[in-house]
Amino acid sequence: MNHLICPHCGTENEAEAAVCSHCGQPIVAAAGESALAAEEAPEEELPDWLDELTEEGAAPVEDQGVDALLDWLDEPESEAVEIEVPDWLEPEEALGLQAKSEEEAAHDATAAMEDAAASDTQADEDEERPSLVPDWLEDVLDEEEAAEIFALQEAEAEGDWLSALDATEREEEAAGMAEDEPEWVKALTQAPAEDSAEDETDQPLDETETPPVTDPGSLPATRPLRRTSELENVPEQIAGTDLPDWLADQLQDEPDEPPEAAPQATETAQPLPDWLAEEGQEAEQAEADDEGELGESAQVPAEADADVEVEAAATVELELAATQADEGEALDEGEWLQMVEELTEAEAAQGDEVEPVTLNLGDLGPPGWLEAGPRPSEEPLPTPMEAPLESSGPLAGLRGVIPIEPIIAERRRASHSEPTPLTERERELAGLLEGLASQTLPVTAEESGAVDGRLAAIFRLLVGLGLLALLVVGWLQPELMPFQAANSGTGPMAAEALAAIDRHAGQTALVVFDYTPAMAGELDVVADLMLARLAAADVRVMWLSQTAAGIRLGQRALERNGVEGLDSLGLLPGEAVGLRWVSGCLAGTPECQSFFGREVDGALQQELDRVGLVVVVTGEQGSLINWIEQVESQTDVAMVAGLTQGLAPVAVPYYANRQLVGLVAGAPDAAAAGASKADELVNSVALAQWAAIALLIVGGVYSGVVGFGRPSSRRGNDS
Amino acid sequence: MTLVGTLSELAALLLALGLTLLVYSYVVGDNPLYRLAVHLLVGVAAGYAVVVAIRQVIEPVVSAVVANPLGSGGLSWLLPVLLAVLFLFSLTTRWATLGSSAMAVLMAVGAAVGLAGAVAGTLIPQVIGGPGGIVGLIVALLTAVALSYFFLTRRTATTSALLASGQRFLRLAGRAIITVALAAVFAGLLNTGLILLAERVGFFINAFAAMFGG
Repeated sequence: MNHLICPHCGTENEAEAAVCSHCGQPIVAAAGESALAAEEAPEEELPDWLDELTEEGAAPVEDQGVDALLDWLDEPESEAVEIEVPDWLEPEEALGLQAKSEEEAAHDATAAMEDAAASDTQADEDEERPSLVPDWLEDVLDEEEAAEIFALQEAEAEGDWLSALDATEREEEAAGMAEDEPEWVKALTQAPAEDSAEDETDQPLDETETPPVTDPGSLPATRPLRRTSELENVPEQIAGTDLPDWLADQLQDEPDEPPEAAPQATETAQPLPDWLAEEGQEAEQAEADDEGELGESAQVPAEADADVEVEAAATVELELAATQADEGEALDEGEWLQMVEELTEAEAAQGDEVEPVTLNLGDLGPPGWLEAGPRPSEEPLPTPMEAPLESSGPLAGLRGVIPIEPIIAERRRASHSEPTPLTERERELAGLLEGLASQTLPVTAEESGAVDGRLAAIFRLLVGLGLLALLVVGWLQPELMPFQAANSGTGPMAAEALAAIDRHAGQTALVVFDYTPAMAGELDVVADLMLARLAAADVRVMWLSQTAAGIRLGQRALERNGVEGLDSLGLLPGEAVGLRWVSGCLAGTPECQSFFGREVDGALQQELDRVGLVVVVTGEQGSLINWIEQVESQTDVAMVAGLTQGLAPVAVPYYANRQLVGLVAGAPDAAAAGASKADELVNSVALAQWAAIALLIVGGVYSGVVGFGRPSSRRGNDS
Repeated sequence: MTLVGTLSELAALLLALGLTLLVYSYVVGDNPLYRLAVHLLVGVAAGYAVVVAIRQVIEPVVSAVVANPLGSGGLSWLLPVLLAVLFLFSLTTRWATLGSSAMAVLMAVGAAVGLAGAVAGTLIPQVIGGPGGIVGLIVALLTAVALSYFFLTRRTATTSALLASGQRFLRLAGRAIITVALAAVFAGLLNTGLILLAERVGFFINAFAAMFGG
């Protein structure tokens, strides 16, 4: 679509418009060539850096082919610096600008605006600063206000003064350069431009046509090319592969390169915008002392071979320009100038001491792998069009979809990796660590416990055998440790028991044999003592037992002592309940009709009524207490107990309370009371008792000394 | 004594000696020989008890009931026999509840009788008829201190430090008293054990001496 640009305010207007829609000034006559330039701009305008190529490097491009694209980078440093420094930065120009008065500057600006409105093709003249302040504003605005307006319209002005380039000349040189480029490089350079051109003109462009320069901000957002498959006419060797970094960066920078950055890397000086000229004046004034050095500092140490090396300063400037283009905004004018000056100062300061960073163009060329193409062993990647079309799923309609599910679902066999080879030193260390790890405390404790257990078993066996030996010796040699109590007289409790028997002479006594053969060794002696006394006192005996074995033991005891039992009440079951029944029968209650299966007749009842003494011979605590609680406390009969030594402490309180009339506490008491076999038994035990006492003392001391020094957990385990 | 009688006595003596040594092997530790002797003792004692119970308890009861079922002796055994039959149901899974009821009656009656006998036969007589004077006071004090060891209530936030210290002291004193009492019992049991072992040793010495004319 054709537009007319107002020469006064720079606003685009319709082609048929006679006056500017923004400022109202007539634009038909004044905008003659300007409108024509606006129409041809999409076809003729080139990026500035390409424009520089057309002007300065046209001839070398023809000779160097593809590398000619970077000719502007190949200039010798001295030449490049001379070229890069625009004219407005030359000392003479700076001084001239500085010397001008403000009125003259304003006059020049007005004149420049008039010239720009008359012909954009004259915008490349050095001394002329294009002024974008319209004419109608010149009369009403002073210089400062005009400068402010100029600052606001800076972006629009950039396009204007750039469009002043000679389009025809650029077209010819660009066409010549494009003919020397390979097809795939052409595609790289033309693709973005064509897209933008189509958007602007809706007309197909010829391949040789140079893409127009448009505002980067107005271009549609494009994705940087990364793969050669995205290009047309790409050689098969590199089809589908990633672009090399140098080429990708080149492609990424080209479309976005701002027009104002390109002149900094060109050889020809471009007309300086007004805003840049003002900034340059201020900078020159601030550093007037260094103005002479500026030109010298720009002289970077040059290399003789200018065809193959790139000067470092140019590279830095290119990076600066690329950064500006990427960010999509122009650097602040002050910063721009400051960076240039700092660069030149740094280069001047370094002088010849620092080798400039050089880069061979050979390194910038396509890498070897790209030229060699894909390796034969690798399967060539299918192009997107060759890949099968996905027919289902969320990726339906796409090509080249990699089926992942079969890969995941496929059964695989686990493979064992080979063991890591170890050196001899590593094996030794591993063995050492393994040995240390195996020597843990629990294992040691278990082993120690097992050893202790075996030692304790052996110790107990030795003690047991020693005890047997002592008992045998004591039995065979009773005179070695004679029982002294036998000569000391009967104990008081035993004497009370025997006296109680004597007091019940002529009466009936109920003798209870509540002990088992396990206790017969001691209680038989006690029973013999009492039965003999009963027999001597002519006491009639009724006997029973709460244990089955006790019945047999009672019979043997009666036979052994020549006691004629009146009757045997037999086994008495039921413990406390049975004893309570017995107490009722002894008390003569009428409920005593039977005595555990035996019918209580008159004779039996009469004998039960005569029972005035109960003799309990037992080794069980429960039996003794039941007899006391259920019989003695419920009747008026006296009770005498013949017990083992271990049970004597339990019976003593009952004896003290007179619930037990008498008590014979084991074999020693029986021996003291004159039991026949009790002396031999007690004498045989005396030696073992002293040995046991000694052993207990030693063991107690050992436990007290060693046991307190061991950990509590260990003591708990031992317990 | 005939040879057979002598050999029989010798065999019985050797068997008794062997069983005694088996039981005595417990001095080394629990071992299969000890268990064998203990199991023989338990089995023989149980079998003997069953025989004695049948002959001296069950047979007289059955004879009395059969002789005079409607008599006083027969009717008085009706409830015990019924409970005994119910107790047999404990062997089954489905009717175990009936057996449990018989066991509950037995336990309840036994507990009641035992508790009444303990109160009437031990607690009251020991409190009333115990030694008076200083001895009685000491006995009561030691008994109270010994019982304080079983003071199992926990310390709360309101428990004062003095009370806590007093409780700790009483617990330690009670523990000491109980230790002394158990030591006395242990000493008696040790003497009883030695007497029993000595009796066995003397028995075998005399038996072998009599057999071999020593």
